Amino acid sequence: MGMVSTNEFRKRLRIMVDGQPCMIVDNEFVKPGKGQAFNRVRIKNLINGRVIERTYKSGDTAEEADITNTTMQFLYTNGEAYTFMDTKSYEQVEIPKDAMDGAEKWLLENTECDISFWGDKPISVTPPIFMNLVITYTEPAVKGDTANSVTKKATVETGAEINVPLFLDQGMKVKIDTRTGEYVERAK
Amino acid sequence: MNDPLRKPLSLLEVARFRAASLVRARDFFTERGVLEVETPLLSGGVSLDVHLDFFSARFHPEGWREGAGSGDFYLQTSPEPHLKRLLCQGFPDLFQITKAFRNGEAGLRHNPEFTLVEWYRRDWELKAMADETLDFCRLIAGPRPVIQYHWEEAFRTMLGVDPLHTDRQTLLSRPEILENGLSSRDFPADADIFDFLMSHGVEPKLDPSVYTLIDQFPISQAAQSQAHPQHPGLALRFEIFSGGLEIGNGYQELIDASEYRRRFEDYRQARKALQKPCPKADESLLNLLEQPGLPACSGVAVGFDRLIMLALGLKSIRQALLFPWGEN
Repeated sequence: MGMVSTNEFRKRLRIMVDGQPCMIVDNEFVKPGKGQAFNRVRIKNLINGRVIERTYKSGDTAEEADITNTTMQFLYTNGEAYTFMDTKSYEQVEIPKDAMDGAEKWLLENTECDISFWGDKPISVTPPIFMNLVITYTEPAVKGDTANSVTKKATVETGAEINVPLFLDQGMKVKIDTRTGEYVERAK
Repeated sequence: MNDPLRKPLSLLEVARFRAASLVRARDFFTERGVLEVETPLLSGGVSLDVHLDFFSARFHPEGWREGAGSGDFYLQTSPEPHLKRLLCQGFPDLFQITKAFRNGEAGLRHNPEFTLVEWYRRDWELKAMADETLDFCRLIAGPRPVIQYHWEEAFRTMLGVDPLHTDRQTLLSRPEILENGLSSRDFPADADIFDFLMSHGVEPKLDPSVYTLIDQFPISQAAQSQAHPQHPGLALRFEIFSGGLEIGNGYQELIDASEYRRRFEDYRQARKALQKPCPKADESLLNLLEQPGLPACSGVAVGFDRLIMLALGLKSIRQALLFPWGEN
Protein backbone atom coordinates (compact mmCIF):
# COMPACT_ATOMS: atom_id res chain seq x y z
CA MET A 1 0.00 0.00 0.00
CA GLY A 2 1.03 3.61 -0.46
CA MET A 3 2.25 6.07 2.09
CA VAL A 4 0.06 8.98 3.10
CA SER A 5 1.35 12.28 4.40
CA THR A 6 -0.18 13.98 7.45
CA ASN A 7 -1.59 16.66 5.14
CA GLU A 8 -3.79 13.97 3.57
CA PHE A 9 -4.98 12.79 7.00
CA ARG A 10 -8.74 12.99 7.27
CA LYS A 11 -11.50 11.29 9.19
CA ARG A 12 -12.07 7.62 8.27
CA LEU A 13 -8.67 7.26 6.56
CA ARG A 14 -7.20 3.82 7.36
CA ILE A 15 -3.52 3.77 8.31
CA MET A 16 -1.10 1.34 9.92
CA VAL A 17 -0.04 2.22 13.48
CA ASP A 18 2.40 -0.07 15.32
CA GLY A 19 1.66 -2.81 12.79
CA GLN A 20 -2.09 -2.64 13.36
CA PRO A 21 -4.74 -1.36 10.93
CA CYS A 22 -6.39 1.75 12.38
CA MET A 23 -8.94 4.33 11.32
CA ILE A 24 -8.53 8.07 11.91
CA VAL A 25 -11.41 9.33 14.06
CA ASP A 26 -10.21 12.89 14.51
CA ASN A 27 -7.28 14.92 13.21
CA GLU A 28 -6.10 18.17 14.78
CA PHE A 29 -3.33 20.49 13.59
CA VAL A 30 -1.19 21.62 16.54
CA LYS A 31 1.49 24.28 16.15
CA PRO A 32 2.99 26.71 18.62
CA GLY A 33 3.48 30.13 16.99
CA LYS A 34 7.21 29.70 16.62
CA GLY A 35 7.46 25.93 16.83
CA GLN A 36 7.20 22.84 14.66
CA ALA A 37 3.82 21.68 13.44
CA PHE A 38 2.24 18.38 14.52
CA ASN A 39 -0.94 16.49 13.78
CA ARG A 40 -2.65 15.11 16.85
CA VAL A 41 -4.91 12.29 15.70
CA ARG A 42 -7.38 10.04 17.46
CA ILE A 43 -7.27 6.61 15.93
CA LYS A 44 -9.38 3.52 16.35
CA ASN A 45 -7.66 0.17 16.18
CA LEU A 46 -9.76 -1.78 13.68
CA ILE A 47 -8.93 -5.12 15.29
CA ASN A 48 -9.60 -4.48 18.96
CA GLY A 49 -11.71 -1.31 18.64
CA ARG A 50 -9.57 0.68 21.10
CA VAL A 51 -9.27 4.42 20.48
CA ILE A 52 -5.92 6.04 21.20
CA GLU A 53 -4.27 9.41 20.56
CA ARG A 54 -1.13 9.68 18.51
CA THR A 55 0.91 12.68 17.44
CA TYR A 56 2.68 12.86 14.08
CA LYS A 57 5.14 15.48 12.97
CA SER A 58 3.41 17.38 10.17
CA GLY A 59 4.78 16.23 6.83
CA ASP A 60 5.61 12.74 8.13
CA THR A 61 3.97 9.79 6.47
CA ALA A 62 2.08 6.73 7.57
CA GLU A 63 1.48 3.53 5.66
CA GLU A 64 -2.03 3.23 4.34
CA ALA A 65 -3.78 0.14 5.71
CA ASP A 66 -4.87 -2.41 3.11
CA ILE A 67 -8.52 -2.46 4.10
CA THR A 68 -11.24 -3.54 1.70
CA ASN A 69 -14.95 -3.86 2.32
CA THR A 70 -17.08 -6.51 0.67
CA THR A 71 -20.78 -7.28 0.91
CA MET A 72 -21.22 -10.96 1.77
CA GLN A 73 -24.14 -13.22 2.53
CA PHE A 74 -24.23 -15.27 5.73
CA LEU A 75 -24.63 -18.99 4.94
CA TYR A 76 -24.19 -21.07 8.11
CA THR A 77 -22.15 -21.57 11.25
CA ASN A 78 -20.60 -24.59 12.93
CA GLY A 79 -20.51 -22.70 16.22
CA GLU A 80 -16.85 -21.75 15.96
CA ALA A 81 -16.70 -20.13 12.55
CA TYR A 82 -19.22 -18.32 10.38
CA THR A 83 -19.29 -18.97 6.66
CA PHE A 84 -20.12 -16.12 4.28
CA MET A 85 -20.36 -15.98 0.52
CA ASP A 86 -19.35 -13.14 -1.76
CA THR A 87 -22.54 -12.33 -3.67
CA LYS A 88 -20.57 -11.47 -6.84
CA SER A 89 -17.78 -14.07 -7.00
CA TYR A 90 -19.61 -16.79 -4.98
CA GLU A 91 -16.35 -17.25 -3.11
CA GLN A 92 -16.78 -18.40 0.48
CA VAL A 93 -14.88 -17.29 3.60
CA GLU A 94 -14.92 -18.57 7.15
CA ILE A 95 -14.80 -15.94 9.85
CA PRO A 96 -13.76 -17.02 13.33
CA LYS A 97 -16.18 -16.17 16.15
CA ASP A 98 -13.86 -13.63 17.82
CA ALA A 99 -13.73 -11.55 14.62
CA MET A 100 -17.54 -11.49 14.55
CA ASP A 101 -17.49 -9.35 17.71
CA GLY A 102 -21.17 -9.80 18.52
CA ALA A 103 -22.45 -9.39 14.94
CA GLU A 104 -23.39 -13.08 14.91
CA LYS A 105 -26.35 -12.59 17.24
CA TRP A 106 -28.28 -10.69 14.52
CA LEU A 107 -27.67 -13.04 11.61
CA LEU A 108 -30.27 -15.07 9.78
CA GLU A 109 -29.45 -17.26 6.84
CA ASN A 110 -28.82 -15.07 3.73
CA THR A 111 -28.39 -11.84 5.75
CA GLU A 112 -26.07 -9.53 3.82
CA CYS A 113 -23.24 -8.05 5.87
CA ASP A 114 -20.46 -5.57 5.19
CA ILE A 115 -17.17 -7.35 5.88
CA SER A 116 -13.84 -5.57 6.27
CA PHE A 117 -10.67 -7.35 5.29
CA TRP A 118 -7.15 -6.37 6.24
CA GLY A 119 -5.30 -8.02 3.37
CA ASP A 120 -6.94 -11.49 3.32
CA LYS A 121 -7.86 -11.39 6.96
CA PRO A 122 -11.47 -10.58 7.86
CA ILE A 123 -11.40 -8.10 10.77
CA SER A 124 -14.96 -6.92 11.17
CA VAL A 125 -18.50 -7.86 10.24
CA THR A 126 -21.20 -5.19 10.13
CA PRO A 127 -24.76 -6.51 9.92
CA PRO A 128 -27.55 -4.38 8.36
CA ILE A 129 -28.39 -1.45 10.65
CA PHE A 130 -31.96 -2.72 11.08
CA MET A 131 -33.04 -6.34 11.33
CA ASN A 132 -36.65 -7.56 11.55
CA LEU A 133 -36.68 -10.63 13.81
CA VAL A 134 -39.39 -12.84 15.31
CA ILE A 135 -39.71 -13.07 19.09
CA THR A 136 -39.26 -16.73 20.05
CA TYR A 137 -39.69 -16.28 23.77
CA THR A 138 -41.03 -13.61 26.13
CA GLU A 139 -43.41 -13.37 29.10
CA PRO A 140 -47.08 -13.15 27.97
CA ALA A 141 -48.15 -9.73 26.71
CA VAL A 142 -49.80 -7.19 28.98
CA LYS A 143 -52.84 -6.14 26.97
CA GLY A 144 -53.45 -2.48 26.44
CA ASP A 145 -50.09 -1.37 27.82
CA THR A 146 -48.68 0.40 24.77
CA ALA A 147 -46.12 2.51 26.63
CA ASN A 148 -42.58 1.99 25.37
CA SER A 149 -40.96 3.06 28.62
CA VAL A 150 -41.59 -0.13 30.60
CA THR A 151 -39.89 -3.16 29.06
CA LYS A 152 -39.35 -6.87 29.49
CA LYS A 153 -36.78 -9.30 28.12
CA ALA A 154 -37.40 -11.10 24.85
CA THR A 155 -35.40 -13.65 22.89
CA VAL A 156 -35.48 -13.38 19.10
CA GLU A 157 -35.06 -16.06 16.45
CA THR A 158 -31.28 -15.50 16.15
CA GLY A 159 -30.86 -16.14 19.88
CA ALA A 160 -30.21 -12.51 20.82
CA GLU A 161 -31.89 -11.13 23.92
CA ILE A 162 -33.38 -7.64 23.80
CA ASN A 163 -35.72 -5.42 25.80
CA VAL A 164 -39.18 -4.94 24.35
CA PRO A 165 -42.37 -3.13 25.48
CA LEU A 166 -44.86 -5.13 27.54
CA PHE A 167 -47.55 -5.38 24.85
CA LEU A 168 -45.42 -7.61 22.59
CA ASP A 169 -45.86 -11.35 22.45
CA GLN A 170 -44.14 -14.50 21.20
CA GLY A 171 -44.38 -14.88 17.43
CA MET A 172 -44.47 -11.13 16.77
CA LYS A 173 -41.82 -9.53 14.60
CA VAL A 174 -39.78 -6.55 15.83
CA LYS A 175 -37.43 -4.09 14.18
CA ILE A 176 -34.07 -3.88 15.99
CA ASP A 177 -31.22 -1.37 15.64
CA THR A 178 -28.16 -3.65 15.49
CA ARG A 179 -25.77 -0.80 16.39
CA THR A 180 -27.31 -0.45 19.83
CA GLY A 181 -29.22 -3.73 20.13
CA GLU A 182 -32.36 -1.73 20.90
CA TYR A 183 -35.97 -2.37 19.94
CA VAL A 184 -37.20 0.25 17.44
CA GLU A 185 -40.79 -0.69 16.62
CA ARG A 186 -43.09 -3.55 15.84
CA ALA A 187 -42.48 -4.91 12.33
CA LYS A 188 -44.91 -6.51 9.91
CA MET B 1 -20.15 33.07 27.01
CA ASN B 2 -19.19 29.40 27.15
CA ASP B 3 -22.70 28.12 27.89
CA PRO B 4 -22.99 24.89 25.88
CA LEU B 5 -26.76 25.32 25.65
CA ARG B 6 -26.38 28.68 23.95
CA LYS B 7 -27.65 28.78 20.40
CA PRO B 8 -24.85 28.86 17.81
CA LEU B 9 -24.16 32.40 16.63
CA SER B 10 -25.15 33.33 13.14
CA LEU B 11 -22.48 34.53 10.73
CA LEU B 12 -23.97 38.02 10.92
CA GLU B 13 -23.67 38.05 14.72
CA VAL B 14 -20.01 37.02 14.42
CA ALA B 15 -19.46 39.76 11.80
CA ARG B 16 -21.07 42.36 14.08
CA PHE B 17 -18.92 41.29 17.02
CA ARG B 18 -15.77 41.45 14.89
CA ALA B 19 -16.70 44.92 13.64
CA ALA B 20 -17.37 46.21 17.17
CA SER B 21 -14.09 44.65 18.38
CA LEU B 22 -12.14 46.39 15.61
CA VAL B 23 -13.63 49.72 16.68
CA ARG B 24 -12.76 49.02 20.32
CA ALA B 25 -9.22 48.01 19.33
CA ARG B 26 -8.64 51.21 17.32
CA ASP B 27 -10.06 53.34 20.15
CA PHE B 28 -7.77 51.56 22.62
CA PHE B 29 -4.65 52.54 20.67
CA THR B 30 -5.83 56.00 19.63
CA GLU B 31 -6.60 56.92 23.26
CA ARG B 32 -3.10 55.81 24.18
CA GLY B 33 -1.47 57.83 21.43
CA VAL B 34 -0.35 54.84 19.36
CA LEU B 35 -0.25 55.58 15.63
CA GLU B 36 -1.97 53.26 13.16
CA VAL B 37 0.06 52.39 10.08
CA GLU B 38 -0.37 50.12 7.09
CA THR B 39 2.54 48.04 5.80
CA PRO B 40 2.81 45.86 2.68
CA LEU B 41 1.17 42.45 2.63
CA LEU B 42 3.29 41.57 -0.40
CA SER B 43 7.01 42.29 -0.20
CA GLY B 44 10.37 41.18 -1.56
CA GLY B 45 11.52 40.37 1.97
CA VAL B 46 9.99 38.13 4.59
CA SER B 47 10.50 37.58 8.28
CA LEU B 48 12.86 34.65 8.75
CA ASP B 49 11.83 32.00 11.18
CA VAL B 50 12.63 28.29 11.23
CA HIS B 51 9.05 27.09 11.52
CA LEU B 52 7.08 29.83 9.77
CA ASP B 53 6.38 29.06 6.14
CA PHE B 54 5.32 31.72 3.67
CA PHE B 55 3.37 31.97 0.45
CA SER B 56 5.40 33.28 -2.45
CA ALA B 57 4.29 35.06 -5.62
CA ARG B 58 5.90 36.51 -8.73
CA PHE B 59 5.67 40.02 -10.17
CA HIS B 60 5.08 40.35 -13.93
CA PRO B 61 5.96 43.90 -14.95
CA GLU B 62 5.61 43.11 -18.67
CA GLY B 63 2.35 41.25 -18.56
CA TRP B 64 1.66 37.84 -17.17
CA ARG B 65 3.37 34.90 -18.86
CA GLU B 66 3.81 31.38 -17.52
CA GLY B 67 7.29 30.91 -16.06
CA ALA B 68 8.24 34.59 -16.46
CA GLY B 69 8.13 37.37 -13.93
CA SER B 70 10.78 38.84 -11.74
CA GLY B 71 11.94 37.71 -8.35
CA ASP B 72 10.08 36.14 -5.53
CA PHE B 73 7.67 38.14 -3.46
CA TYR B 74 6.20 36.99 -0.21
CA LEU B 75 2.88 37.37 1.52
CA GLN B 76 3.95 38.57 4.95
CA THR B 77 3.93 36.12 7.86
CA SER B 78 3.90 39.13 10.20
CA PRO B 79 4.23 42.93 9.88
CA GLU B 80 7.25 42.85 12.21
CA PRO B 81 9.99 43.67 9.63
CA HIS B 82 8.14 46.69 8.23
CA LEU B 83 7.06 48.02 11.61
CA LYS B 84 10.67 47.74 12.80
CA ARG B 85 11.85 49.58 9.68
CA LEU B 86 9.53 52.46 10.61
CA LEU B 87 10.74 52.44 14.21
CA CYS B 88 14.36 52.60 12.99
CA GLN B 89 13.38 55.67 10.96
CA GLY B 90 12.23 57.45 14.11
CA PHE B 91 8.50 56.67 14.09
CA PRO B 92 6.68 56.88 17.43
CA ASP B 93 4.62 54.08 19.07
CA LEU B 94 2.92 52.10 16.27
CA PHE B 95 0.13 49.64 15.78
CA GLN B 96 -1.25 47.72 12.87
CA ILE B 97 -4.30 45.53 12.43
CA THR B 98 -3.45 43.43 9.42
CA LYS B 99 -3.81 40.17 7.59
CA ALA B 100 -0.87 37.80 7.94
CA PHE B 101 -0.29 34.61 5.95
CA ARG B 102 1.30 31.37 7.08
CA ASN B 103 1.60 28.48 4.69
CA GLY B 104 0.59 25.01 5.81
CA GLU B 105 -1.23 26.18 8.94
CA ALA B 106 -4.85 25.08 8.90
CA GLY B 107 -6.76 23.53 11.76
CA LEU B 108 -8.98 24.22 14.75
CA ARG B 109 -6.82 27.17 15.80
CA HIS B 110 -5.05 28.08 12.58
CA ASN B 111 -6.15 29.64 9.34
CA PRO B 112 -3.49 30.26 6.66
CA GLU B 113 -4.76 33.86 6.33
CA PHE B 114 -5.55 35.47 9.65
CA THR B 115 -5.77 38.82 11.41
CA LEU B 116 -2.95 40.02 13.63
CA VAL B 117 -2.88 43.02 15.93
CA GLU B 118 0.74 44.05 16.38
CA TRP B 119 2.06 47.05 18.25
CA TYR B 120 5.30 48.57 19.52
CA ARG B 121 5.97 50.80 22.50
CA ARG B 122 9.20 52.84 22.56
CA ASP B 123 11.26 52.78 25.76
CA TRP B 124 8.89 50.25 27.31
CA GLU B 125 10.18 47.24 29.20
CA LEU B 126 8.64 43.80 28.87
CA LYS B 127 6.54 43.97 32.04
CA ALA B 128 4.66 47.10 30.91
CA MET B 129 4.13 45.51 27.48
CA ALA B 130 2.69 42.35 29.04
CA ASP B 131 0.35 44.41 31.22
CA GLU B 132 -0.92 46.40 28.27
CA THR B 133 -1.38 43.22 26.23
CA LEU B 134 -3.52 41.76 29.03
CA ASP B 135 -5.57 45.00 29.04
CA PHE B 136 -6.11 44.56 25.32
CA CYS B 137 -7.16 40.91 25.74
CA ARG B 138 -9.63 41.89 28.46
CA LEU B 139 -11.01 44.63 26.23
CA ILE B 140 -11.82 42.21 23.39
CA ALA B 141 -12.37 38.86 25.13
CA GLY B 142 -13.54 39.96 28.57
CA PRO B 143 -12.03 39.99 32.05
CA ARG B 144 -10.43 36.86 33.48
CA PRO B 145 -7.96 36.38 36.32
CA VAL B 146 -4.29 36.25 35.33
CA ILE B 147 -1.92 33.48 36.36
CA GLN B 148 1.76 34.06 35.73
CA TYR B 149 4.58 31.53 35.41
CA HIS B 150 8.15 31.77 34.39
CA TRP B 151 8.64 29.37 31.50
CA GLU B 152 10.68 26.90 33.54
CA GLU B 153 8.17 27.14 36.40
CA ALA B 154 5.32 26.21 34.04
CA PHE B 155 7.21 23.03 33.08
CA ARG B 156 7.95 22.17 36.70
CA THR B 157 4.35 22.75 37.76
CA MET B 158 2.62 20.98 34.86
CA LEU B 159 5.15 18.27 33.98
CA GLY B 160 7.41 18.01 37.02
CA VAL B 161 10.51 18.58 34.93
CA ASP B 162 13.03 21.42 34.70
CA PRO B 163 13.91 21.25 31.01
CA LEU B 164 16.90 23.59 31.16
CA HIS B 165 18.63 21.36 33.71
CA THR B 166 17.64 18.03 32.21
CA ASP B 167 19.73 16.36 29.53
CA ARG B 168 18.38 15.85 26.02
CA GLN B 169 18.18 12.05 26.37
CA THR B 170 16.00 12.27 29.49
CA LEU B 171 13.70 14.79 27.82
CA LEU B 172 13.41 12.50 24.80
CA SER B 173 12.26 9.68 27.11
CA ARG B 174 9.27 11.69 28.31
CA PRO B 175 6.01 9.76 27.81
CA GLU B 176 4.63 12.57 25.59
CA ILE B 177 7.43 11.76 23.11
CA LEU B 178 7.84 7.98 23.47
CA GLU B 179 4.13 7.18 23.34
CA ASN B 180 3.94 8.89 19.96
CA GLY B 181 6.82 6.94 18.49
CA LEU B 182 8.78 10.20 18.13
CA SER B 183 12.53 10.26 18.58
CA SER B 184 15.65 12.40 18.46
CA ARG B 185 15.49 12.86 14.68
CA ASP B 186 12.09 14.54 15.02
CA PHE B 187 13.61 17.26 17.16
CA PRO B 188 16.69 18.70 15.43
CA ALA B 189 17.13 21.45 18.05
CA ASP B 190 16.59 21.33 21.80
CA ALA B 191 14.16 24.19 21.24
CA ASP B 192 12.03 21.76 19.21
CA ILE B 193 11.75 19.44 22.22
CA PHE B 194 10.80 22.41 24.42
CA ASP B 195 8.14 23.49 21.93
CA PHE B 196 6.72 19.97 21.76
CA LEU B 197 6.58 19.52 25.53
CA MET B 198 5.03 22.97 25.78
CA SER B 199 2.29 22.30 23.22
CA HIS B 200 1.62 18.65 24.14
CA GLY B 201 2.39 18.68 27.85
CA VAL B 202 2.05 22.14 29.37
CA GLU B 203 -0.59 23.88 27.23
CA PRO B 204 -3.31 21.21 27.57
CA LYS B 205 -3.03 21.66 31.36
CA LEU B 206 -3.46 25.45 31.38
CA ASP B 207 -6.68 26.74 32.90
CA PRO B 208 -9.15 27.89 30.21
CA SER B 209 -10.92 30.24 32.62
CA VAL B 210 -7.88 32.50 33.14
CA TYR B 211 -5.24 34.29 31.12
CA THR B 212 -1.89 32.57 31.62
CA LEU B 213 1.15 34.77 31.16
CA ILE B 214 4.39 32.86 30.61
CA ASP B 215 7.69 34.77 30.56
CA GLN B 216 11.44 34.18 30.93
CA PHE B 217 11.75 31.89 27.94
CA PRO B 218 15.09 30.15 27.39
CA ILE B 219 17.44 32.02 25.07
CA SER B 220 17.09 29.21 22.48
CA GLN B 221 13.46 30.41 22.14
CA ALA B 222 14.29 34.11 22.11
CA ALA B 223 13.08 34.61 18.49
CA GLN B 224 13.63 38.39 18.16
CA SER B 225 13.71 39.26 21.85
CA GLN B 226 16.80 40.35 23.74
CA ALA B 227 18.61 38.34 26.37
CA HIS B 228 17.80 38.96 30.03
CA PRO B 229 20.47 41.42 31.28
CA GLN B 230 21.15 39.45 34.49
CA HIS B 231 20.48 35.95 33.16
CA PRO B 232 21.90 35.63 29.64
CA GLY B 233 20.41 32.12 29.36
CA LEU B 234 16.92 33.65 29.41
CA ALA B 235 15.08 35.83 26.91
CA LEU B 236 12.84 38.85 27.51
CA ARG B 237 9.85 37.23 25.86
CA PHE B 238 6.32 36.50 27.07
CA GLU B 239 3.34 34.62 25.76
CA ILE B 240 -0.30 34.83 26.80
CA PHE B 241 -2.59 31.81 26.70
CA SER B 242 -6.13 31.01 27.66
CA GLY B 243 -6.21 27.28 28.25
CA GLY B 244 -4.08 25.88 25.44
CA LEU B 245 -5.04 28.72 23.09
CA GLU B 246 -2.00 30.86 22.32
CA ILE B 247 -3.14 34.48 22.07
CA GLY B 248 -0.14 36.78 22.10
CA ASN B 249 3.63 36.75 21.82
CA GLY B 250 5.68 39.72 23.03
CA TYR B 251 9.33 40.74 23.17
CA GLN B 252 11.51 43.36 24.64
CA GLU B 253 12.99 43.77 21.21
CA LEU B 254 16.51 42.79 20.31
CA ILE B 255 18.48 45.95 19.41
CA ASP B 256 21.91 44.65 18.38
CA ALA B 257 22.04 44.50 14.56
CA SER B 258 24.86 41.95 14.43
CA GLU B 259 22.87 39.65 16.70
CA TYR B 260 19.86 40.00 14.35
CA ARG B 261 22.14 39.04 11.46
CA ARG B 262 23.49 36.05 13.38
CA ARG B 263 20.01 34.80 14.38
CA PHE B 264 18.65 35.19 10.83
CA GLU B 265 21.62 33.18 9.54
CA ASP B 266 20.94 30.47 12.18
CA TYR B 267 17.31 30.31 11.03
CA ARG B 268 18.45 30.05 7.41
CA GLN B 269 20.80 27.17 8.25
CA ALA B 270 18.08 25.40 10.22
CA ARG B 271 15.65 25.85 7.33
CA LYS B 272 18.24 24.50 4.91
CA ALA B 273 18.69 21.40 7.09
CA LEU B 274 14.90 20.93 7.03
CA GLN B 275 14.97 21.33 3.22
CA LYS B 276 12.72 24.36 3.42
CA PRO B 277 13.09 27.33 1.07
CA CYS B 278 15.61 29.85 2.43
CA PRO B 279 14.98 33.40 1.30
CA LYS B 280 17.82 35.87 1.73
CA ALA B 281 17.97 37.78 4.97
CA ASP B 282 16.01 41.02 4.64
CA GLU B 283 18.75 43.58 3.93
CA SER B 284 16.33 46.55 3.92
CA LEU B 285 15.62 45.71 7.54
CA LEU B 286 19.17 44.76 8.51
CA ASN B 287 20.64 47.98 7.04
CA LEU B 288 18.25 50.09 9.09
CA LEU B 289 18.90 48.00 12.20
CA GLU B 290 22.60 48.81 11.71
CA GLN B 291 22.10 52.49 10.91
CA PRO B 292 20.32 54.41 12.46
CA GLY B 293 19.38 51.36 14.54
CA LEU B 294 16.26 50.21 16.38
CA PRO B 295 15.34 52.37 19.38
CA ALA B 296 14.72 50.64 22.71
CA CYS B 297 11.19 49.20 22.48
CA SER B 298 8.89 46.31 23.25
CA GLY B 299 6.42 44.81 20.84
CA VAL B 300 3.66 42.21 20.75
CA ALA B 301 1.55 40.35 18.22
CA VAL B 302 -1.93 39.20 19.19
CA GLY B 303 -4.10 36.79 17.20
CA PHE B 304 -7.30 38.77 16.67
CA ASP B 305 -9.34 35.80 15.44
CA ARG B 306 -8.34 33.82 18.51
CA LEU B 307 -9.53 36.63 20.79
CA ILE B 308 -12.84 36.48 18.93
CA MET B 309 -12.95 32.70 19.52
CA LEU B 310 -12.32 33.29 23.20
CA ALA B 311 -14.84 36.12 23.50
CA LEU B 312 -17.62 34.11 21.83
CA GLY B 313 -16.67 30.69 23.22
CA LEU B 314 -16.03 29.28 19.73
CA LYS B 315 -14.26 25.93 19.46
CA SER B 316 -12.82 26.47 16.01
CA ILE B 317 -11.22 29.49 14.37
CA ARG B 318 -13.41 28.66 11.38
CA GLN B 319 -16.44 29.85 13.35
CA ALA B 320 -14.72 33.20 13.96
CA LEU B 321 -14.13 33.84 10.24
CA LEU B 322 -16.62 34.82 7.57
CA PHE B 323 -14.69 32.91 4.91
CA PRO B 324 -12.64 30.17 6.58
CA TRP B 325 -9.99 28.25 4.66
CA GLY B 326 -11.55 25.85 2.17
CA GLU B 327 -14.61 28.07 1.82
CA ASN B 328 -12.73 31.16 0.69
